[in-house]
Amino acid sequence: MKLDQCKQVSDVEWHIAPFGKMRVPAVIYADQALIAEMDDKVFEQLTNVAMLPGIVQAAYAMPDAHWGYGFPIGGVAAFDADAGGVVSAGGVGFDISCGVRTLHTGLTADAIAPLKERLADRLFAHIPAGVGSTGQLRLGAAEMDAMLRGGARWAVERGYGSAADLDRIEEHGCMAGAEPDQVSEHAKRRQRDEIGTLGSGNHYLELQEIVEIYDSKAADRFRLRQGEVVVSIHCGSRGLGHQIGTEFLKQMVIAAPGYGIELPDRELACAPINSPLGQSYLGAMRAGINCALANRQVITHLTREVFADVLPGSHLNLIYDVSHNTCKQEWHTVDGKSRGLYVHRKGATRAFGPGHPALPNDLRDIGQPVLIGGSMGTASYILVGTEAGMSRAFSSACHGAGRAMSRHQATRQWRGRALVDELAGQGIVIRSPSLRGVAEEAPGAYKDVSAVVEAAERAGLARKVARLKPLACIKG
Amino acid sequence: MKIYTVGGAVRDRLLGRPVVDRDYVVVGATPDEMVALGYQPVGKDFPVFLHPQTHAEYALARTERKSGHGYKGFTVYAAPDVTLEEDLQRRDLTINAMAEDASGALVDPYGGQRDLAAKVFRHVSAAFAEDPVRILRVARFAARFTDFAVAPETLALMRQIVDSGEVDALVPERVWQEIARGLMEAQPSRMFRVLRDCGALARLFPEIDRLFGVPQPPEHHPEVDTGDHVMLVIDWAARQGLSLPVRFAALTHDLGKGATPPELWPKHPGHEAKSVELVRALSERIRVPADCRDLAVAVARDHGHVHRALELRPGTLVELLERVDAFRRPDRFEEFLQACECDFRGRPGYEDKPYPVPDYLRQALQAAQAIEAAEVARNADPARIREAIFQARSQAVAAWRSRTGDRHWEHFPHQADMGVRGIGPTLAAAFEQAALAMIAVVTELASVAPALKVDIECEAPDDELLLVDWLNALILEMAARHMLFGRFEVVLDGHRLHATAWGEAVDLQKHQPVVEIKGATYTELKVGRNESGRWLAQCVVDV
Repeated sequence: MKLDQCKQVSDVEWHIAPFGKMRVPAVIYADQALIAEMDDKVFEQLTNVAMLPGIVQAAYAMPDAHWGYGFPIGGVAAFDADAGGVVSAGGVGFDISCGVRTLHTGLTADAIAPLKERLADRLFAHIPAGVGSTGQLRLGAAEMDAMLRGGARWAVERGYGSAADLDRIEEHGCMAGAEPDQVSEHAKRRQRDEIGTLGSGNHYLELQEIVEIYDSKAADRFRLRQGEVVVSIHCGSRGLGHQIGTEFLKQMVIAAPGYGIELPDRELACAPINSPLGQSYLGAMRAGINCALANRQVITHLTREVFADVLPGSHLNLIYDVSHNTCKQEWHTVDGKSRGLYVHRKGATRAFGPGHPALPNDLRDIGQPVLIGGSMGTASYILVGTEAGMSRAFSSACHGAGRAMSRHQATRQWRGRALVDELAGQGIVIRSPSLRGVAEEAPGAYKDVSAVVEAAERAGLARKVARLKPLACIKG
Repeated sequence: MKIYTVGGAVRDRLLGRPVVDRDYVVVGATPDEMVALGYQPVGKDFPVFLHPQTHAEYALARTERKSGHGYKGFTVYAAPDVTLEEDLQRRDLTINAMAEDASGALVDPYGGQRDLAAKVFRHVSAAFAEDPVRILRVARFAARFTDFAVAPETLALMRQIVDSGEVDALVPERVWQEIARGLMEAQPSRMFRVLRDCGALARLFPEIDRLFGVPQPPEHHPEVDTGDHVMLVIDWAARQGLSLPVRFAALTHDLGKGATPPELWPKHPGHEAKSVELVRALSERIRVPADCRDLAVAVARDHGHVHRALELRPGTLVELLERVDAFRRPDRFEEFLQACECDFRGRPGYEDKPYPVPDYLRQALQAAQAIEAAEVARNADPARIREAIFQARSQAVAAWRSRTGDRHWEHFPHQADMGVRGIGPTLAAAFEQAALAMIAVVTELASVAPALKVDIECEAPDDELLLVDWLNALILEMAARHMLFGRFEVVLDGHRLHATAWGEAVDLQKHQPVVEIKGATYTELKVGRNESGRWLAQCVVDV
């Protein structure tokens, strides 16, 4: 990105003063190297977001920001419904509530080592992954609606996991305000047999070893101990979420002129929060969030089944579950006043600091776990929300490494088989239905996740707690 | 005895770059003392030892004095009385002549830190001149540390060494080793510029040196100068992170242009054949490994054909594919295409232009591959098997061409996802091609059999929204039916679309699907006619 239009206010914060039709400034959190690497499209998309009606304070980009659809991926923006604020289907994205959850196994890497290959094989066989895969559940109309209303709570009620899991999920496992009636039959048709499937692309299930602890107090509270193994699951709302995104994007594009909204980019399609279309989208999108939460909950159950079989007596406890692509109504202090805002996080993680009422009782004094997924073969991180973060970017942090290179370029540069062998050489077991898929997700096609996390910490968005190293990866 | 980290590790730590290898110097020890401590002696010419546990290299402090031509003509003196400063003094550049003891204290007697800060390559002492390979090393460093410059006095010294004829005595293997490493650095052109500045390029690589000052037609080559073009091409290859064979092919593809009689400038008729000769001679001279040489020869010979691929007749296309061994060596064929694309992009203003050739040739190869060579061979006159296979492949390519006509599809890059573009004589044809491009994101098109037929209808307020709707309708049908489509027929009636899609149920073994498509997006969405009047339909799909 050209830096001449950005004003550097600290080594990790850059401001773009409003110009043209921008209503608020844009703020990018990144160090010099990360911002220099960012595509010019991030600048363009972020300044476009700053033009949307009712936007509050600023449009924000996280250190892992890259070229997305309408919003940059790694973009955060909040809107005030009473000030004409909008909700944007593009600002949430196609994979509604795509996210990460991490489970603690309580087992050491040494104990897992001889069973690693076997666990990977069994997980790969037991959890449907890749194109065209279907889950074991078939949802009829009534069950579908119950799932869309209940989220992870629906799954727990049907025996997938325990009530203790729910406390460790945003919204306690169930997004309020979901309206299954607003979800089209097409979307439901895509989801009939997709609950409990991982999907493809950058989605994965990983066994990871905790290799470094940065903050022993928070690590203790999250029960993270060096040398122990966790399981991380990265996936989203599957076909249902994609279809909701697709359909509302079109409706919003067509309706925007009628609402007097001038779109700098069609992908930024939006509708006033207080409009029938806005409300209808919010109802459908919240149902999409529940779909993602239910999906991760069922996959968690399948993972536990494999562990119970291979390592009888093991208990997988949920550390936390975060969502990356959402629009949520939250209270934030703006200019000393508490305001109810609709916060869009597109490829960004909520990062509530200590004391936030949305946190479960046993984490309230320490802050929210923030799970940062790496790319296959590189580190992942666990961070914690901070007090300072609450006044920056509406309590948001980065979500992952972010791509540095297109899939096109990646397949020219890597061969799947060679990559699997190379990672095996580093002790990382890869299981995937598609070798070309592996090549497209090559670790080298992503930015350095450590640099991203470092910048997020220096910018005060969240604080590092632990670093995780992959041991085995099931790639969708 | 005292142990110091020396050289590159100290330099890279001060620069904040990752330290890959650590070398150590041991001062005040004898070989016997080292062996007694468990170190394993390995040096043939110098006293070097491997650490018993880490296997890192430990060299005794030494001085070297030149005693003859070439890199073996040295007298080495290693003894406990050789000081660290004496050892550092024999090194090439000040930035490489720093040491650090176990406590992290820096020893920098020759101004290495100052030169790092000033970003200057400066020789340590006149002893620099004793090993001419140092010229190549400095040039290679210039390709790695792209914002450093060679100090004027060092450049003058390098010129003196060249003038003295010392570089002519360099062992070919060492020249190739340095060039190969330099080509893999961030900006390889800087290596060749430094070699040229000191006159070494003309001595070591006269065929490359000759390219500078040779003009090319400005309408195709805004940079005009052939040397500048080749430098842009190798830097592009480096930016894409491509392999050594691709970079070597990029360096040598146009060597023949240096042999064009000046009266023919800026044209270079037949330069490809001359390039082939020169690549072979160069490879022989500096002992270039076979994989680099073979790719370079293929690219030198055929890059012109490749750029004109869209105009070639089916038989000529198959000849090209057979000549570059695409049927037997698909990985090498990819490298071949990469090198040709570097040639295309290594021109100012061509970095982002569409270059449909690689996708086109891949599709032609795919069509020709559908022929079972063994089957054809069984039914052919035994004396004419090659001919029969060639004919069958040409017919397959011709059939593919008439099926697609002047229509084709391609992918274009998006940072996280993938762009799909269809081109055809009508808007409907462009929509069909865009759909094929989208399926090709998921699987090899040829693997999808048209076993089942699905009818699709959609409608939108304008052509652009209609394209997105059409692709999204396909995504929905494929997801809900667990199918993949491989063939499409589109009829347009204003902004209403009626289509038939043929395909079959997803079969993981058969289709090896790469990724699921979440949705077609409005990003880079364009529908309209291009300059040649053909219809184009494109957007990015989210995967």
